[in-house]
Amino acid sequence: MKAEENTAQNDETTATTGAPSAQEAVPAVSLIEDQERAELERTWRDEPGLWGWLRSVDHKSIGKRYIVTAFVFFLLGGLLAVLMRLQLSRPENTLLGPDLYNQIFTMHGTTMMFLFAIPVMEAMGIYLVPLMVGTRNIAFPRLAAFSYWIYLFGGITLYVFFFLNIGPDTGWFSYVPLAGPEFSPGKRVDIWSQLINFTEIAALAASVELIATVFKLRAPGMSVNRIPLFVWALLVMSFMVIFAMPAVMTSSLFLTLDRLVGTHFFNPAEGGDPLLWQHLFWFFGHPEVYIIFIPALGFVSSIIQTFTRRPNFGYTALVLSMIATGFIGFGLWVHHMFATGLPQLGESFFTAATMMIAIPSGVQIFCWIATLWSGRPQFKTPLLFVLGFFFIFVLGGLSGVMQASVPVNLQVHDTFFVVAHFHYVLIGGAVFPLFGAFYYWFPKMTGRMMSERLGRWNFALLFVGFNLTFFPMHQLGLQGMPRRVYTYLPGTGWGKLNMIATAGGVVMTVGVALLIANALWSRRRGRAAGDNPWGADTLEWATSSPPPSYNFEYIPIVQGREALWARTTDDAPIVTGLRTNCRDVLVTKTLDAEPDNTMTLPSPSIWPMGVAFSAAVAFIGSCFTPWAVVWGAIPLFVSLVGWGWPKPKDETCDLTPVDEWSDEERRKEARRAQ
Amino acid sequence: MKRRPGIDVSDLPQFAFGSRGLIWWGVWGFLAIETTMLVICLVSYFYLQDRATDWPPPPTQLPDLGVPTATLAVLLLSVVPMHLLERAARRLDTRRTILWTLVCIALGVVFCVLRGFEFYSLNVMFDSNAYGSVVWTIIGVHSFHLVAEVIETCVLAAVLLAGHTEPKYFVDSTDNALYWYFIVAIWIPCYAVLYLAPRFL
Amino acid sequence: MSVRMRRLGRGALRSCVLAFYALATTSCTGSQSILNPAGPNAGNVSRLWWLMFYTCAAVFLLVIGFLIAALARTRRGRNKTPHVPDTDPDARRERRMRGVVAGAVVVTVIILFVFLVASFTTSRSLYALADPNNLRIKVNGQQWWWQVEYENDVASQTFRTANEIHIPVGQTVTLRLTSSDVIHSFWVPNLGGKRDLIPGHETTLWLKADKAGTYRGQCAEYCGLQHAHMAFVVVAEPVEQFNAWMEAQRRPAVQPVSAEQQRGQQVFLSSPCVMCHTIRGTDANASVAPDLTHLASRQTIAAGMLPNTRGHLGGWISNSQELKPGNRMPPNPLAPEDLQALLSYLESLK
Repeated sequence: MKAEENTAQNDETTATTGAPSAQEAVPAVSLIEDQERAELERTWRDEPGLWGWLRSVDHKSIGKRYIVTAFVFFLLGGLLAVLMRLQLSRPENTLLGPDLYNQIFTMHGTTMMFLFAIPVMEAMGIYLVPLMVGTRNIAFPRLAAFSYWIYLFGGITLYVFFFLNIGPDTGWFSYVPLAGPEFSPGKRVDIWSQLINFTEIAALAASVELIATVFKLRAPGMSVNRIPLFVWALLVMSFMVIFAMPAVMTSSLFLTLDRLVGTHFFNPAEGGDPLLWQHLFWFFGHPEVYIIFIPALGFVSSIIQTFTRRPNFGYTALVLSMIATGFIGFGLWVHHMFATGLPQLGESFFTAATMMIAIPSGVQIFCWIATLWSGRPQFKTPLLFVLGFFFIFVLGGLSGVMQASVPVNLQVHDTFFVVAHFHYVLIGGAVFPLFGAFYYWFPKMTGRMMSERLGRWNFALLFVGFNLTFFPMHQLGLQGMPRRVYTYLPGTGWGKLNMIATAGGVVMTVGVALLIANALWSRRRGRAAGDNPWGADTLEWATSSPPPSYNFEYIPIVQGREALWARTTDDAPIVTGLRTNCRDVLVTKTLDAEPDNTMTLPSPSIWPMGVAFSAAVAFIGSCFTPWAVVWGAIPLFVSLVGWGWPKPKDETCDLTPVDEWSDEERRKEARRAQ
Repeated sequence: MKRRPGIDVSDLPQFAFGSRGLIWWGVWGFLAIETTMLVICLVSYFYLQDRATDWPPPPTQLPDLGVPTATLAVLLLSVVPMHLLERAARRLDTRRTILWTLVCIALGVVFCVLRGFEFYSLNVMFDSNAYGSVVWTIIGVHSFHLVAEVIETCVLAAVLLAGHTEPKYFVDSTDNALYWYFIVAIWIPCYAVLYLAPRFL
Repeated sequence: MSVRMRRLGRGALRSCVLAFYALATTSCTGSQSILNPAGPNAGNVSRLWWLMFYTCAAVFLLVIGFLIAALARTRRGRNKTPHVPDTDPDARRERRMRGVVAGAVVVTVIILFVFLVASFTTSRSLYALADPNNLRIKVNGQQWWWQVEYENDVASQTFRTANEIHIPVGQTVTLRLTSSDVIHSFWVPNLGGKRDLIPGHETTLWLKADKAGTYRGQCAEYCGLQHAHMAFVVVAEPVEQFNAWMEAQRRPAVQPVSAEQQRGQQVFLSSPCVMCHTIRGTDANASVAPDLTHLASRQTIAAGMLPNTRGHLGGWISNSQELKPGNRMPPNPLAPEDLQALLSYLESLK
């Protein structure tokens, strides 16, 4: 009985009442009454109908729609990739012209990076982190809703303009001067740089929420050394977002100003420098790779732990290596710029830093192999995807180490070798674990299991298709095929390998189609999952599938690193006394997660969507005139005030105004709140 | 799974100031974001300076010191009523909180107006050269935060004056104070870079 | 289930070995290939590449081997209670594994260190070619072609050409790289790594060919609409041959001999051609488009896109937009006789 240790630590501020001691074993009873459960449901649920849907601040609804939206963008980006592969399948193909091809490869990169990879990782966090740390909602639920809406509006904007043939065409990296006012007149690049604003705001908001949730809303007992690895991963990712995204925010601001009001940040004739853009962009762009990759480490850790039936080997090493990856990830950006001819000393530093990041990655891989070695692997679909991850990611990591070397980099930079490399790292390192995670948490999100049989086919097709598509690209790069070419001459001899890659792309497409089919079929017909179909250890499996609007009937008390596996007895200790008629959450201390105070989270509201909408209007308007920022500020201000303005006095949940308190009460309460 | 009561939290405080509360962490998150952004602007300034032979590039003149220094002084001064506001809010003292909030707003209006004149002290336009661009952007980004913060403080004052004196709005006031301190503190390095660095570096 | 898994694993491993083998044995041919070096730069890089390739292949096989071995262990009847989690793993085994993992990390660090040293050494060898006495060539990148200027301290000895660079075998040339519009990247895989051409910057690259031959190069930084068709050739030839070529290039264009050629020259000088092109020795001396003084001596037109034949040249002049959409040359609707005369003239510009 470890609960006593927890309760015994509480000082007078965290009043303990009736904590049972080991001697007087309290009869375990079902504490929750139907009436109470109904009240919780009334308090936390979204209102029915479209209006309720639009106003939802439930992290699970937001997370789910975030995931679905990101997946839709993944499909769009994937279709664009298929078009590119068809165009490149043979030399001098005329399926796509240069203008369309350039828009398509730009859209593909932009979609996959900004509209799929980062958002889907944050979406998984928004859905899972509050459940995993054992609380009722995410820290700033309205901010989460806002994050989703602004992301959605940004994505829609980009695609609407693309379908109007105003899609960006200067690459997802938008190098100036090509993307500057002189060489890209028109609105194409403006749309791109506004999209950056949309997605970075969404990502930053989500990161702040996740950090606050992890720091302050963990269930009692989940001290720092008991935080699940997935939550650690999301925490590291969130910090990386906070320090990386402002760089692209600033650089896209510079670009917008250069294009819109005639500043000279990147204009060499007036003292600007095109390389400034590259430094700023890659100071964001390289950490971004790890922003996408680190959550995948969380998926892999969760899946391996569950399907080897043992705790991950080397918890501390894994946590530290993730943090190390997060730090080193900021020191590598110049390896994208070796070909610009930097001083030799700088090159050496960045070579060393780039190679160094292989060390924490190595630690992770070795720890997981040790876990598999000493565990009892159960070959369910999620684990298959993780095994695919090992194969592909290790290969991609090794080709990355090669490119850390300046001489090799100067040869393979901006060739198909690099295309192969980063697809190995990003698809192998992030998408395979993500699909594994999808199979793994689908039962929790929908209450139904996905088909294992389809899952195996799904995995096999994706694995084979992926390697068929991207392995030949290494070779193409070595044979001198540059990236971002809409066609090539027959004499180059690149045709055959390109044809193989295109065939692989078709196989991959079938694999993805199987995933969709499986999800759609299983959602209706899948076997009922039950609370914990995999026998996993983290808290999200302690509640029903799908979880109720309030997540947990009672906040659980965590007794070990593997929360559910640590429950040795049949009666789990829980937190009582949290109001069921208000959206109350328990705020705990940052390090040891002792109960500290309670807080009432905000209720559903349409204003987050309103703010997102007015911001979207201002952003899009500012592609056309700088004054849109001024006029757009007015509805933005109104909706922000609407968001934050107190509702009519709510006697049940809010404390009474202090004006109605006695001086004695004020003093007492103020002291308790310091 | 059966359950057994472990901890009763019904007696815990329902609001808490500073790092014990949730909002404080959110504010720090955004402070980190905005600090990073301004630092990147400053780094860009030095990057562009490094590329230039003369700084500011001729015929651009050095920025004036008068109005910018006055703005800085008022900004620094505003920390005092803001601190008093925070102290009053932490004591749940409605009257003093509102009083100091209004003083802060008054000072806020003063430095916003001064800031408006400060743009003239730069002696360069944003579209003259890269120096002008980066200088205007640094001061522009900061001014954006400045104006937003003053408006935010006005809204808080309006909430309190409307009779919403539930404790959570006192917590909001202290978190708003944190933001105000940040706006002032971050301007010190910006001021040094914009006005002192070209003179002494 | 796990049997099938293992089979899958082995199949994957086998196909991977095959793929590596295929990678290792092919690709050593081609006039635009990294692994077919024709000079010391590319040679050093390819040696470094093979060192890394074989080391990484070994590491990969080792890691995957360990993974498969780990999965294979499940067979050994340890599935007594498959679903009960093992929350208290055997301490001795954990200690042993800790040792193995630490050892693997140490090996990783050692390999990385070897790579680092090898990389630095190769880097230094690339810079070793710098020498102020090298032949200097200025390459200016433009959307979407390459202006090449052979520099000389004597102004009259300087000359320009486009999309074709001749270099003497066995001698190092210094390329000064600039751009007058957007960023491009100069890359001849057989001779060495790439270097960007950045507006507002001047970058340097050293080229040296040990073997005579024609090597294709291509822009390696996305530069807009026709990035795909911004190629060039480097012709490495014996010194005497190179000197003869240079002498020929320095001379102004030959005067038209036949009547048709003379008419062709008239067509050239009276049409919009002169707005952009130079033919030294005539009144045409604009420099926004390739210098055509010795056009007929070049192997390709349209920046390495088309072979330099009468047919292609005709098609290019009439409507280059159809061949290379978006390029800066407008269509020239000439009367058929005029076009033929112009072609005859241009073909005479050896």
